[in-house]
Amino acid sequence: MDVCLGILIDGLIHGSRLFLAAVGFTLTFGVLKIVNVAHGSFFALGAYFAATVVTGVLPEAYRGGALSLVAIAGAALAAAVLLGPLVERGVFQWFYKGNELNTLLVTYAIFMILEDLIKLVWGATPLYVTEPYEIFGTVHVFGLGYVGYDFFMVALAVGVGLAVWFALNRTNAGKITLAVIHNAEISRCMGVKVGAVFAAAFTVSLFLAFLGGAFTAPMISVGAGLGADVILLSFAVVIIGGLGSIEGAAIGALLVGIATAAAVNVAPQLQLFCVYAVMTLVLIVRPSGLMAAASARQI
Amino acid sequence: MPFILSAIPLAAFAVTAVWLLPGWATVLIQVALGKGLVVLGLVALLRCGLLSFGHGLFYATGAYTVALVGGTTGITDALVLTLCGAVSAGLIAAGVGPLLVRYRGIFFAMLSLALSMIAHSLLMQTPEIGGSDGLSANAVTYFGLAKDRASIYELPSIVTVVVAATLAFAIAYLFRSRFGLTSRASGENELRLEYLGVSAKRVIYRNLIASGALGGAGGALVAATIGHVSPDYAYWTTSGEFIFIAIVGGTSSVGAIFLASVLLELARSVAMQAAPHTWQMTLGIFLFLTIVFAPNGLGDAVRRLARNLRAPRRIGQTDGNEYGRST
Repeated sequence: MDVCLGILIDGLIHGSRLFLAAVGFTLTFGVLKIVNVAHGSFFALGAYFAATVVTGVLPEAYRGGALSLVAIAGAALAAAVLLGPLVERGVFQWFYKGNELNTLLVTYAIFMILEDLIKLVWGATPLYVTEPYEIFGTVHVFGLGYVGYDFFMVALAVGVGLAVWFALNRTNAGKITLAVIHNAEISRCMGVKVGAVFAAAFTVSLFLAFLGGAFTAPMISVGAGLGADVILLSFAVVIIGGLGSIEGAAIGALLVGIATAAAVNVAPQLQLFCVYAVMTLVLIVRPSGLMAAASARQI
Repeated sequence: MPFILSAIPLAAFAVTAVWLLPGWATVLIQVALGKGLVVLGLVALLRCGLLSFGHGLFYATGAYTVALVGGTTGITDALVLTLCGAVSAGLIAAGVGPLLVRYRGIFFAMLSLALSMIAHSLLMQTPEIGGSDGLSANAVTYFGLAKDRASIYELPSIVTVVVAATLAFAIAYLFRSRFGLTSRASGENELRLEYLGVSAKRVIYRNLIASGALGGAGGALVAATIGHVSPDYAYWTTSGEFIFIAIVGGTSSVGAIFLASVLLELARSVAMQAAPHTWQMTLGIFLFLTIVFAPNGLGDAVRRLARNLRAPRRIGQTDGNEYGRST
C-alpha cells in the first residue's frame, strides 16, 4: 500500500516536470505544425540560465529565498521574449512551405548546434543550483517525506496548464490562435496576421521551455546530456497525449510519470523501456495519441 | 544496364585504392562503406516517404550478431557472419514490421526511435552480453586467416568493398525495378497507389525488411572492422548520424550515399583532431546548410548546378522537376 501511494505521488511529481517540459513542445506543433527537436536544448538552456542567474548574478544572501524563484522566472521570460521572435522569424518561417520532414531535420540541426554551444559556453562539467530546492522545506504526506519544492512543481505545472488553457479558450488572442491552429490559410484570408500569431506562439512555447528548465534545475544536475534526455521524454509524452493537444500533454505526462515511478520502484533498470513500452501500447490502441484532434486525410 | 557495366572498372579502382592507401585510410573506408550500407537501408525507407529515427536497431543487431556468433559458436568467417547479421536484422525487421507499417510521418519516426531505444536499454541492462561496456568482436577470420594476418594482404578491406559494392548494385537495381518505382509512388501518394490496386503497406513492409537486412549487413561489417560493439550502436544519436548521411547523399543516387558516408568519416577524423568539442555543432551547421541549399542531397544539387550553368534559366521557366504542393 505504501509502495502504491509512493508510486502515485512520485508519478505526480515526475509527471508535472514532464508536463512543463512537454507543453511548449505540443504548443509549437499545434500552432506552427513543426516538430521542434530543439525544444530539448531550449529546456536545457533554461536550466543553464537559471544556474547562471542564481549562482552567478544573485548575491549569496538571496539565493535561498523567494527572490531566486522570481529571478529565475524573470530570466526565462526575458530570454524567451528576446529569442522567440528571432528564431521564429529568422529561421523557421522559411521552412513552412516545404516538406514537414525538412523542418524536423532543421530543428534537429539546431538541436545539435545548441548542444555544443551549451558545452562551449558553460563547459562540460555539470552545474548545481541546489539553493532554491530548500525553500519549501520538507513535507510529509501520509507518512512519506517529500521535499516541498516537488509539490511546488506540481502546483506550477497545474498553474501553467490552467493558464495556457485559459489563454487559448477564453481570451480573444487565444481564440484567434485556435483559428490559426485549425486552418492558417483561411485565418489569413479573414485578416489575421498569421506571422505574428506564429511568432507569438513560438515565443510562448520558448518561454514555457525556459520556465520548465529553469524550475527543474534545482532538482537535477544540469549537465551536458540534459537536452537529449528531455526531448526523448517529451516525444513520448506528446505522442501519447496527441500532438497539439494541451490536455493530451497533461494526460501523457501523468501516464509517463506514473510509469517511470513504477519502474523506478520495481525495476529501476527498465525505466526508459517502460516509458517507450507505454508509448507503443498507446499507439497500438490509438494511432494518433489519446486526445488527438480528428483530421481529414489529403487525397 | 549501363550502370552495372560501370561496376567492373569501379571494383578494379576500389581494390587498387585499397592496396595503395595507408592503414588508417582503409579502416576509415571500411567503416564508411559499412555505414553507407545502413544508410542505403534508410534511403529505401525515405523513398517510401518514411523517416526512420531508429535504424540503430538494425545496425546494433548486425553488430551484436557478429560479436555473439563469432565469440560463442565456432563460426568466424567474415562473409558468413555478415550474412548472419543481415538475416538476424532482417528477421527483427520482419517482426516489428507489422506494427511499424501502420504509421506514417512523425509517428513512424517516433515509433522506430522508441524501438531502437528499447533495444538500447535492453542491451545496457544485460551484463551477459557486455552491458554498457559492450563486447569484443575480434574473432573474425577472412578465408581462414585471422584479422591481423589477413590485413597484410588487405583482405578485410577487399572483402568489405566487394560486399558493399555487390549489395549496392543489387539495391540500385532494385530501386530501378518495378518494386522500386512502386515504393517511390507509395512515398508520393499512398492513396492513389491503393486505388491502382497495389497494397502500400505490403510495399513498405518489404522495403522495411530489405532496409533491416542492409542495416544488419552494415553493422556486421563495421563490427568486424572495429572489433568492438557497444549499446551505443542502438542509441538515437547514431541513427541521427545515418539520417545526416542520407540527407547529404540524397535519395536519388546510391553512389552519392557512399560518397557522403566517406565524407562524414573523413570530416569526423579531421574534427576529432582539430576541434573535438564542436563536432556536433559542425554536423548541425552542415545539416542545416544542406537542407537549405540542397534538400535533395548533394548529388541533386550538383546536377542542378551543372544544368543551370549549361543552360541559364530565363524568367518564368521551370526545370520541370518542381511539383507544386496542393493545399
